[in-house]
Formats: sequence, C-alpha cells, structure tokens
Amino acid sequence: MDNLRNIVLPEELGEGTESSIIMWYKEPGDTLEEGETLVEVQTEKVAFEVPAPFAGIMKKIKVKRGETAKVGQVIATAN
Amino acid sequence: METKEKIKKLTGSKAMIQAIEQEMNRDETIFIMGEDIGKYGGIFGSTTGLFDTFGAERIMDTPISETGFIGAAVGAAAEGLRPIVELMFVDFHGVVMDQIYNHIAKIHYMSGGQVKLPIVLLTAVGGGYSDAAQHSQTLYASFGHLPGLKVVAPTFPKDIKGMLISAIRDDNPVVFMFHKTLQGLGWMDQIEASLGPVPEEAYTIPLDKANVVRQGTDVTIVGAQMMTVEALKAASELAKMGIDAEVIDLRSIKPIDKATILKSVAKTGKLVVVDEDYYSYGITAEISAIVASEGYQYLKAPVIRLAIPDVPIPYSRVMEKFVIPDSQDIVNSVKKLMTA
Repeated sequence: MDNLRNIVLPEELGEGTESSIIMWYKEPGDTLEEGETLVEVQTEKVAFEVPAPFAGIMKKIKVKRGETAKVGQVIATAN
Repeated sequence: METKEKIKKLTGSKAMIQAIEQEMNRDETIFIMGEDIGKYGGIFGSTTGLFDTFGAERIMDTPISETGFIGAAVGAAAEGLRPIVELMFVDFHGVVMDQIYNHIAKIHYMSGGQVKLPIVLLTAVGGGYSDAAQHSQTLYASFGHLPGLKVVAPTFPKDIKGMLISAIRDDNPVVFMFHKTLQGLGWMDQIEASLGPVPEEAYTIPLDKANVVRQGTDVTIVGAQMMTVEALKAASELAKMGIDAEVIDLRSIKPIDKATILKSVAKTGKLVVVDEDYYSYGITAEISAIVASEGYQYLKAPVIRLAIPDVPIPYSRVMEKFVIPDSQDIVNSVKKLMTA
C-alpha cells in the first residue's frame, strides 16, 4: 500500500534545464497508465509532454501549475 | 452507484485545440491557414499538435502576408470550404482590412445571401505582458463596429471550446478573439482563470449571449476576458466590505446581449463597465448608451466607465499596468458609486 514512488522531471529535457509546469493531466487519486501523458512542461525552447513512468495511482503533486522544476527533481508521487 | 465521469480541466489553449480537432474530424471541408500555425502550433497555442494529426494539406502554414492568406480564405469559403484563419495578433489587422471589412463582412450581404462565407477568423488579443503598442491591443470595438461580422471574446476554457465550435458551424463569418493570458501558456503569467473544466464531447455555446458569472444585488459590473477576471477579483474584495456585486461576462462583442445587461441593471440600479480596449467609442460607451436609452429608469447613479485611456499601450510594465484597468480600479470605482 505504502509503496510510494517518486516521479521526477525526465532527463530528455536536458541537464540543468528549468521547466515550468503548464498543465497536470492527472490529479491525486487518478489512475496512471504507463506512458500516457501526465504533465505538460515548458522549457525555454519547447513544450514537452511528460509520460507517466509507471502504472499506479497518483498521490501528490509536488510542483504545481505555474511553478518551475529542474531535471531530476521530484514533481509528484504515486503508488 | 456509478460515479459520473470526471470533467477534465483544460487550459484555454487546449480547449481551443480540442474544439478544432473535434470539428475537423466531423467535417473534412474545415482547414486552417495562418502564420506559424503548422508544426509550431500557433504562437499562442491555438493549433498545437494539429499538424501532426491532420497534415500540411489541412493545417497550412502561410507566408507572412495576411492580405494573401485571409484573402484566400474568402475564395475558399465562397467555393464551399470552411476555412479557419489566424491573424496572429489582432494589431496586424491593418494590412488585411479590405479583406475583412469589404469582403468577409459584406459579400454575404451584397450577394443577397447567395454566397456564404463560413470563415472563422481567429485572432490573439490583449496586453499586460510588456509587448508594446503594436502587440497589446484588444480592438474589440474596432471589429464590433463593423456590420456583417459576429465578434466573440470568450473568457473561460468551457466557453472557449463551446463558442469556437459554434463559430466553426456558423455559416456566417465570425471573428473569434482569444486572450493571450487566458490561453494558459507556460511562458506567460499562469493565472487561475486560464484553467477550467471542459466537457470532453463536442458542444455548442451561443454566439450572442452574455453570462452572469457572479450573482449580486448592489452593483452590476460588465467585462470581457481579462476584465471579467479582474471584475470577479474585485467582487470578492467588495464582498468583504459588504458590497454584493453582480458580474457579467460579455462573451459576445457583436451582437451584444442587451437583455442580460438590462435585466441586471434593473436589479442593481448601478453599473460599472470595464474594458481592455480604448475609452472613446468603445464597449464602455456602447453599453452606457444602451442603458441610457433603454434602461434609464433603472439607474440610481451615473454609469462608470473604466477603459484604457486614449493612448497607445506603453511597453514599460509599470506604465502598462497603469493604463489597463484592474481589480483595484474597479473596487475604487464601486466604492465611490455606492456612496454617490
């Protein structure tokens, strides 16, 4: 039950890149399918859709819409 | 008990894209032309992803000639297609005004209805992000002034989707103004109002109806797009002072929904009109005139008009903030009005 796993901003966005969160496609309590769009982020250059890295249930959003995160930073948790 | 399927929240941009995609799937005569609306997806996110779905035949990037591609839309529409064309910034309308107000607005009339022009002219409006005088206007009234065009300016994602679908299905030309700040883009200020629940299925919202977005009894505040957002903010502030404001989101610039405005003023007796367009000859003047002519008996105080003073919009953030009305300006005006 407690197997809480972290979801981080993926490396594809480029080391050291800051991205702002444009829109969460999932809210806490929603079911995640591996590979489906979880969140859209915007770097200085591109908008990027981050896929869910695994299947599970969304628990907590750590970086809210409008805030920024770096590659590798935990942006949400799920189990 | 089965729970009702959750309604997803979308940004203004996603709501637009969903509307266009659903309509393009339904009707293959619909296609899009504009600058950077292809792979790039529109500079304010009106067409993101559509190029990958529909390809270059139906999502056509054009050269930088509004005269050319908006003129081409007139021909395509006259021959039976349903073009959606994007004028990147409404500020650029000058070079294409003959196509807009002599062709798009008049051909259906001058042909006695024999030639229909089912064109949607998308255009990004609004300031507040330091883009200077040639990229920050709304020009609601410039378009509202011209007979032969429907002009809409929805605020919230649900209305954006429903009204865009109505615009696409309408056999008449519709100017569809979307506010840059309400698109919910990552590189703009991300405000709460730019994200909201949007039903998944295709639906329509009428192109001629305002919407009472907050009920109140003491004063009516009318706005459109960002001025609706500011009016709602002001209404929350006013509530703390014991003033109960009603807020009307205009949604349609032309035709203007007189009935909703007059009904509200009949109830409150006080009116503030707030506009992110110029003061003279604009929406504030139009609505004041409507109420003076058809609802004079309801008024308990003079109408208050808040709009951009008759100056070009400044680049300086501080000066720009000074000329664009905001919730504090509305609160101050209402307070003055209540003691009048």
